[in-house]
Amino acid sequence: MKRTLMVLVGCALLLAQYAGAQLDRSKMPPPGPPPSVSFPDYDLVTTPNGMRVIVVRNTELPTVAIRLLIDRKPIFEGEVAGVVEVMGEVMKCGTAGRSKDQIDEQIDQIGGSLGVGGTGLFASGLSRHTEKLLELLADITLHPTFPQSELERVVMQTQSGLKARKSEPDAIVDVVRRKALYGDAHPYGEIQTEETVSKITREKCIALYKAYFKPNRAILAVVGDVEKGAVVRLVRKYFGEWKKGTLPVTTYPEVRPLPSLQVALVDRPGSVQSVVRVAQGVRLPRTSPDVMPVTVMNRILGGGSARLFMNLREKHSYTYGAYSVMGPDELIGAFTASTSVRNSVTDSALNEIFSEIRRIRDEDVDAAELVRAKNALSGAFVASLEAANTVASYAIDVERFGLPRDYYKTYLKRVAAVTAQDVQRVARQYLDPDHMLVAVVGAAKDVRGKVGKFGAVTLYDEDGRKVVERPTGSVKMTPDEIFAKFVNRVGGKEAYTAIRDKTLELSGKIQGMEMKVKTVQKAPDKLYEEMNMMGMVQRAGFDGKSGWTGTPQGIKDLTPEQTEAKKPDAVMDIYSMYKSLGFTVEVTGVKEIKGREAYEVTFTRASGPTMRHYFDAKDFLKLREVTVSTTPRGPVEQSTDLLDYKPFGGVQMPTKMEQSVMGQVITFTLDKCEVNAGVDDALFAKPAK
Amino acid sequence: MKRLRPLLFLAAVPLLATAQVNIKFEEYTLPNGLHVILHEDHSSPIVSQVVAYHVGSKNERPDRTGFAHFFEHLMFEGSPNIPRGEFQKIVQNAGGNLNAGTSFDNTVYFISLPSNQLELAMWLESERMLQLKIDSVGVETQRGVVKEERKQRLENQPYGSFLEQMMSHAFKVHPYRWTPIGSAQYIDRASLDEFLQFYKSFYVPNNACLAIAGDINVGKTKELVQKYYGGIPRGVGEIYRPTEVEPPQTVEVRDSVPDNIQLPAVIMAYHMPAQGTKDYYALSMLTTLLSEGESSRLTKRLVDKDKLAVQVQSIPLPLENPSLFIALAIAGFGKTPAEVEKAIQEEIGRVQTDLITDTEFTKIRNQRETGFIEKNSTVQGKAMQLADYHLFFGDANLINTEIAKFTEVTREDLRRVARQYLKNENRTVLYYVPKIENQ
Repeated sequence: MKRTLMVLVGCALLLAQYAGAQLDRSKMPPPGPPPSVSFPDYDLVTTPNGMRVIVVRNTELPTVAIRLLIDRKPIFEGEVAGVVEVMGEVMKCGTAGRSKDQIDEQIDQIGGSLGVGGTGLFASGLSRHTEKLLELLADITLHPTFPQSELERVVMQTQSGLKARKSEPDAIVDVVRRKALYGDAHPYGEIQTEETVSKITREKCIALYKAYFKPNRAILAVVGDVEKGAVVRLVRKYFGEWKKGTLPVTTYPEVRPLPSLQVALVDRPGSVQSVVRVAQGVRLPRTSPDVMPVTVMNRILGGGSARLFMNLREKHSYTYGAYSVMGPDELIGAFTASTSVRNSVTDSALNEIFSEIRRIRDEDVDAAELVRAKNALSGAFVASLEAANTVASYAIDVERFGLPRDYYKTYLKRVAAVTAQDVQRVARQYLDPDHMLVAVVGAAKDVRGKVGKFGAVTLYDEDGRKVVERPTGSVKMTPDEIFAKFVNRVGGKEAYTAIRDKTLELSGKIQGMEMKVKTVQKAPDKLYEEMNMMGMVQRAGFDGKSGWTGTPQGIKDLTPEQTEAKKPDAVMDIYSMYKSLGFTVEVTGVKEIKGREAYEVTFTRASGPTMRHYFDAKDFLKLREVTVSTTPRGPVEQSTDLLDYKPFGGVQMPTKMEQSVMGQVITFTLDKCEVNAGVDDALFAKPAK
Repeated sequence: MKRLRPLLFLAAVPLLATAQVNIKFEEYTLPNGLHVILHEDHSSPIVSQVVAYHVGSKNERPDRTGFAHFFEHLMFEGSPNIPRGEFQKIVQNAGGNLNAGTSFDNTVYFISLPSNQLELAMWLESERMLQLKIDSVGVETQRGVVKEERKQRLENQPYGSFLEQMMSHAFKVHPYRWTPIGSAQYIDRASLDEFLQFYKSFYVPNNACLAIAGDINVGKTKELVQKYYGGIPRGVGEIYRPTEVEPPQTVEVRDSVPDNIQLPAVIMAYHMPAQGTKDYYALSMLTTLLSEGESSRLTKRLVDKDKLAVQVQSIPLPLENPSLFIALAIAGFGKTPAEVEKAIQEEIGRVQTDLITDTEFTKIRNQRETGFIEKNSTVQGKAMQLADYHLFFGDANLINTEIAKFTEVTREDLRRVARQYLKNENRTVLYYVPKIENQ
């Protein structure tokens, strides 16, 4: 009877569960008991030539991942900034026993992969190929030949990447942040440019390799379905001949806090968003006991769905995302808050960022917020252990930075131990809002005034070079005086005004495609243009009053707006005609153009376009013309550098023009120039068809 | 003497020692139609829950493109028990992460959490399957967000529009002619009622697969599944699946797309059969031959030797209905699209003419095998694959067996599919060219 009753009760309970009678959807289910986290162990063996070999056994999958790292301090690259990366790339392009083709073939043949990055090399594949992968890695590490042709190819690819960087605001803001915070003389402030990369030679790569690649500074981590004894045997077999040595000693300049809050601005005309970084250096080595409280503090300030995010996005809708990162470093750590906001709220957003920074310093963090941040960090740590590679990274960090051997085993305990007082203490100690850097990439026209409220503004270009600026008050010349000096410089007023018509034939190349342009100008204001690209010819004409363009659909008249915009283009001499076209002119500054100081003269009128002409401050040769037109998609800036002046009919004219629009550069060469050839007015009139 | 025979036998057969993938799981279907797949993996104290709904952009009406993707956003808006803005926070604060994605054929949601929070994951996911809050505030908020996303990913990115351009050029009839992101104008026009209809039609348990992988106990998990998902009613009415069949392409299509880029690009796409077919596997092996690894045919020729391209890729787009085999290359500085296209064409010609060598054949099989195994390195990856294999093929065990379909492909198959599908009249070619202003 009892047994039957038990069974009946048991069934009832079971049924009740199955019927879902116990589910109350209005209550968030609580967690179960925390699972035990076991930190996978690893073995560390040092070989006779000093290599530290870390082996992490993980038999989940029949795979292996290998990483070789040179344990060294940052390298100061100087005038060849970029050489470390380039050298690394070229290392895998040929060894004493293998060409690049052979290396590529052999990796792919076993279904593996091999790459170079940062301070080391990595390889991965199925564990049954462990020996082959180690052998290949050793060959590349010990016997690289740095073939000249491969170096040239890598340099070219790197330079293409750096060209592209100029149109990427996130990359630009990082460049200027590093430059402004760390300065030129510190490795963290070094910026790769096309110029620095162009100076990289094979000899420099070899010298760098010989100086730093030593086994006693190498850490090799092997993770996967492998066995320690076998791995160590293979390492000794293939890396055994590698000879010990000492690395060069580098001293680093001290990085001092900024004397006051400073603003670094890179002008990106036409930007509709400001890309913003608020940053400072942080003295925090990895062994400091403050690292964990700092990590928790930063999670509360700028982690996922944390204070910066909730304020700037959820509350104010300034942005798609806002967050901060903060981390230790043996030389100098960093705090960086990041966001991208529309122009008009650049100052408001900065105000909110600073108010959040002050709040976490001045106010106690509330208990629930602290618990959530700690949970998030704990969860992320546990999840990171799933990847055996993470375990290897942790092991490498312990070796490199002299952390206690159980550093990661005690991670969760250290998270749990952080108190609200700790958070406030480290916020006060390490965040110094009055001495931070505000770095912004955006449209200076719209945001310069806004960011100027926070501190003194220094302008930078996209490569992190300071832009020379002089207050306009110090320029004592009027625009007309500058124009007169220019005319004088290129041949004198008589020769200049004697030119009644001018026919130019230019050829250009845009990304490999040939383009031929012919322009015919007749004083005072007639212009004919013909463009031939890949066999397609496009014509346009303007007779001083009205104009037309030829399209595949036929001849189109210029609209009144287009006509207005065409006039400044078409006039033979803008300097004598700007008034009659309705422009006001002003000397708006002194800028640096390709290393020379130049006067900037700006032409404005209500119907646009805005133009800026730059005249060399010493000899008044015109160096550049910029036109900013308004298009349906916003303002578009076209900039033309004028080079290689040569005389034609007694007047100096540029024979090479570098025109850049939205990051694209077209170089035009003047093939032919004819002056005063006599041009019929009929050329500018609208054709019959 | 007896010992020698196995060795002789082995020597006669070309050896392909394939590593075995042996992922164990249990599966069953609830009365309400929800298919459930459970996989235990105790190597880490985490769990990953995936729900895949069998709805994607191809289930949309042509005047309501972007709906499925928009819905992916709406699914984070909450329920009567989960306030707006809390869904993501709850997961993150519990130490987990989450995301979702919409494709042409399905919409997939995952939540990964420490394993003692499995019930939380189920509560969250079942809440939004049962009673997602769809109101005008949520719709308005997400409308703006989705428009920003389109700008950020498609319009502001160099080459960002390539898939949209290619699909619209290559497909005239089938819904694949538009992409998941769709067109902003249609999201603006849709009414609240239409969103509710979409939810009722597609976001139902009988149109979904639930896969959970990680540090779980299968028995206990089954109870929890019943508790949270068992009571969700089955959907009524028929689930719309498109029936259009794209007619064969008989004439080459060519076009030019101006874009805000520095370097021109060439994109070529050939019509090919749907995923899971014999020729799909052969065409997949063909892409490994053409572009996987530094020694692959297109990479070695275009990037390394001739320096015609900075990047080259071939992709067999794996879709439920007949799809595209895409080859694309970004031209090097100073190189023209025409010369890049010519080189790609020559390499295709080589595969059409000669059988590949034995060495190359072994190579691509090894590459495939490594890729297949590495896909199973995370519980999230395994859960997603299990759900997908069930949703598309009705066979979750393909997670263990699909590799065989790739290694069954012969050298003759490779040449045959190259000849059969990589023909000019079957293709669309787009040149991405830098935009020129004021010229």
